[in-house]
Amino acid sequence: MDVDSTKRRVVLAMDGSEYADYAFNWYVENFKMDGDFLTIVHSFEAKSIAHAALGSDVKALGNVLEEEAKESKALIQKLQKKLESVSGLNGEVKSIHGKPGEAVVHEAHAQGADVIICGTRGHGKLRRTFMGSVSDYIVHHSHVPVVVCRHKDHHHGKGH
Amino acid sequence: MKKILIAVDGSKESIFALKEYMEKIHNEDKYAVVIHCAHYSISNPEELSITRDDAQTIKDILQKDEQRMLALTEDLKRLLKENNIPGEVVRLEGKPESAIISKAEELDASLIVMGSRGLGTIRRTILGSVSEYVLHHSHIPVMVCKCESNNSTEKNESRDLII
Repeated sequence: MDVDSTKRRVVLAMDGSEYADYAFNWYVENFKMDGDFLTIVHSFEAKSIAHAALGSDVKALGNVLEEEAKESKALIQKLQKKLESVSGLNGEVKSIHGKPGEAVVHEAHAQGADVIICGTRGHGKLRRTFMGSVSDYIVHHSHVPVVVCRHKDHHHGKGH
Repeated sequence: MKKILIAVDGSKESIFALKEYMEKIHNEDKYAVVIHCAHYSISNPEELSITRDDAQTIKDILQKDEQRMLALTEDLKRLLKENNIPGEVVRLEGKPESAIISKAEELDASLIVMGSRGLGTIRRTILGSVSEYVLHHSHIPVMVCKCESNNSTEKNESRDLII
């Protein structure tokens, strides 16, 4: 198998939480191949619209919007740094508007990705289940393979 | 070497998952452990009415099962060899979902690879009960592969191997 010709497009769903960090680290240590193009997808929803609907004053709305934009920018920079910290890793950070699961799947389909990697928060109703709603959505709606990474220490948490 | 566990049940979706692994995931630092869980045609002995003639029928059925599973093992070994994948094929006994998770933990595998049944009625992928269980309970990352088959209405009655 000619390694050079098998350039893979990997989409990694990251929301900035430590669980997403684990997925990134797992990718680097266990999955990464030379020639990979990694797209880190961060999704955001316009929560500010909901605030506006509450009829609060315009000034407050402006502050909320500004805060959100700041947070988003900081997160994107953090993700960018993460990408750059791995030598020889080719990729980009994409900030996409939409519900987390949908944005990731849409991006993966649009670019013809080879695989999606996502983490999980494990907020299942039963303590023993590890799937979060986002990873659940991605697994059930993606047409490309999905790797679900859970935090290794998950089972040392309160549930188990 | 990193150990990757690929769970196969003989269905074309699971073979597809194995092929995806071999083509897209495998590299020189990985060792593939392909497992398939023993599946017996007679799972509930109480359903059988035992007469003297049935003894032979049951023997025949069990023998057929054994032959099928041995053939699957050989086919999988051949597939690994043809693709130059270092690895092995193991047949596991017991409930598939628990056997898969136990084996992955025993191996300290980096990843579990599984197939799924395909698209369901509202374009939502149907995983199958084993894949769902493993996805929810495995401490080790799980990769779910979709078969690009358009035959989503096909009933997967037989467990014949399609390579």
